[in-house]
Amino acid sequence: MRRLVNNHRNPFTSRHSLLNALTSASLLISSPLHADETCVSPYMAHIEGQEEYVYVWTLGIEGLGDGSDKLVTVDVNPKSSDYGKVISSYSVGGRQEAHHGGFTDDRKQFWAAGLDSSSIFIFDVRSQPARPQYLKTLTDLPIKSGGATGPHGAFALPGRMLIPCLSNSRDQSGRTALVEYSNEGEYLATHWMPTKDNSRGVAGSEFADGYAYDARVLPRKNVMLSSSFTGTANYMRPLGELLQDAVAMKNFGQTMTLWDFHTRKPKKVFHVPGAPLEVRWAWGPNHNYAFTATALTSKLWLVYEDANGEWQAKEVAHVGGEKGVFPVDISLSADDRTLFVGCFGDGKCRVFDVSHPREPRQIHEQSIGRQVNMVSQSWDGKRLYFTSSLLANWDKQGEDNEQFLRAYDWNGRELKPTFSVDFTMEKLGRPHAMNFGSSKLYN
Amino acid sequence: MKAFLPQFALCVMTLASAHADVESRRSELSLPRTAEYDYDVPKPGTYTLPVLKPAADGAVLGSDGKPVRLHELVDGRIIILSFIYTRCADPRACLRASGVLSQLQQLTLAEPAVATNLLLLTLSFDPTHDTPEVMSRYGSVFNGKQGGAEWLFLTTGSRDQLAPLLDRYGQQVDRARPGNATGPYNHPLRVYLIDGQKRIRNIYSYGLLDPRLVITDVRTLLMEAAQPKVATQTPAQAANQNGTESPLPRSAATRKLVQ
Repeated sequence: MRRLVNNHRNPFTSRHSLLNALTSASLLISSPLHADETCVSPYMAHIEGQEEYVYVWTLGIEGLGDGSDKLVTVDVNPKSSDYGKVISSYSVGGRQEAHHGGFTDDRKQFWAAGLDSSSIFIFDVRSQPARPQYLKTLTDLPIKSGGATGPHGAFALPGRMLIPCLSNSRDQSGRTALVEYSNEGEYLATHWMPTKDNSRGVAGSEFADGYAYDARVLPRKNVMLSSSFTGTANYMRPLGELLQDAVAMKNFGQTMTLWDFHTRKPKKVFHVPGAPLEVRWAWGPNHNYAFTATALTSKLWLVYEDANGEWQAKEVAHVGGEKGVFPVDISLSADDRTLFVGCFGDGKCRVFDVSHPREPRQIHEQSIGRQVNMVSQSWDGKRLYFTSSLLANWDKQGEDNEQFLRAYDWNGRELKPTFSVDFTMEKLGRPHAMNFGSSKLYN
Repeated sequence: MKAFLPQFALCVMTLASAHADVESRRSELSLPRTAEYDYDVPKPGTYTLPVLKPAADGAVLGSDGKPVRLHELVDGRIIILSFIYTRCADPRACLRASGVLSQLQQLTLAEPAVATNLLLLTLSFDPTHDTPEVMSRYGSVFNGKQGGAEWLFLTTGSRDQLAPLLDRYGQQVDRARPGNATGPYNHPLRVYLIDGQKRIRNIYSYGLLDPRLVITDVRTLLMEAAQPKVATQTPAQAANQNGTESPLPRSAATRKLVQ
């Protein structure tokens, strides 16, 4: 199994120096995750009560434990004697920039993607939800898809998985595609992102950069929305080098693309500068909008259907201070009223009241750790979990390189810590994507 | 070649004419947008439906109690296959599926060409309760459209006979807890679109089970079947077909593929 580990030293050794560097560079991009119960595919069952397990897709660290990427299961049932403890771990061998993952629509399988190797590891989470069983690895994505690489995550559709990719095998840039596999792991189709040279008649073609990141569906409106990040050449590069390369720093996504979901044809490209990352559709039956956060420009954006039935994109809020805090993951509550924002720059979670989606209002701010990436919440909105790692070569260094899973209760006003798992002390690695499990899903 | 060109042109004109004719007779356009399916449906034939997997065969019982194999029923027709159980009280599940199949049958009433090329199948995953007699009574509630697509109501002889079908189609069925309000089983809603070559081409869950979309998919498959056969494609060619074309010149990956 191929691994690509870089030992270049990250230039950021403290929070202070990190922010200074970011300010001087004006940019930082991170790679957040999605997995909270309020953002799983609408085509699958939700865990609406107490989740029992959090599956953490974890990057291996050379010299720490077995050094391998692994799927770690943490018991999060407060009634369990193992509450807050790691109860199983499966190492897949090697390091391939473990990143995001997702369940199939029947919630029998968990697909975990490796950005660097373009491999997808499939686990059975039904047979023993407390101990996911490895089934097989898909290694054919680059060839079968016609050159797409860097699978970012896995979004469940009925009987199939949608794999938004980040890059391509020709030039490792951000030009890429959305790829589909059947639940059985057979390649189905590739949908290349529109570009200026190959716009396919899409509105807003003057913005089309061909980049992708997240992709999610609003079935009621037959639309899919994709966001954009950057290619392998950037996300596998040591951050210190990247920040000094003015040309490379231009190669980040500036767009979101609206698709006709049924035909898989792009309809409109929006100019959303600053690497729009996670896509979160609202759940309300008349809420025809989605939020995203732009990591580089520290903004919240709203993509919405206007009174004329046209889809628009609008910047609706700034996150953090003037210099930006690099919002990298967002989690929208099931009632569409509260948006939690994970901010890598200062390790804080910022909470916004988004009852009026065009006028988000920050209502809380709390430090989670020296670095924080992902925020995932339970369907009932009472519990939140955070992990720390962005990318192997982009995580902070020294004392700021905390690697954790931290759990909190949310009472509507503040986050109260419940437990923390130190992934360095446990010799596990860099915790990344979180997905919830429960034995009650399977009778 | 000279003789071929006029024939090809005639073929293209015929197809174009047929397409225009289909557009003028799209009965699904009479169905309004709803709160659940709030969009305009695409035109048939303007998109492709990838092959998901072979549609499994298996032994079933007709509502007359006679054994038959699923594939014997196909006869080159497009199939809409719905797994249900008659005791299901969830309006978003089995009742919804049978309601949509009823709408599909209604839509085909005025289109004999579609009706004769479409078979609706409702198959119970509760063989202990859903005997052929029960399926016959269930069918009589929904199946009343003479002249529309044929609709058969099937069950199996036993759970052992049923299990491989559920497994191969990927239809999950779990026992619900005692007292469950919607019935004794938990299951996701799944309806399968199967082409004349017995291949699954789409799977609809609740959020996708829009009768306008399903009948548009049926028309798309009928148009596809009327086209000249395409030679076997490489995966990369299929990728280009489904994503318009790759923006990438031949890459290392695709070079490997064509060597």
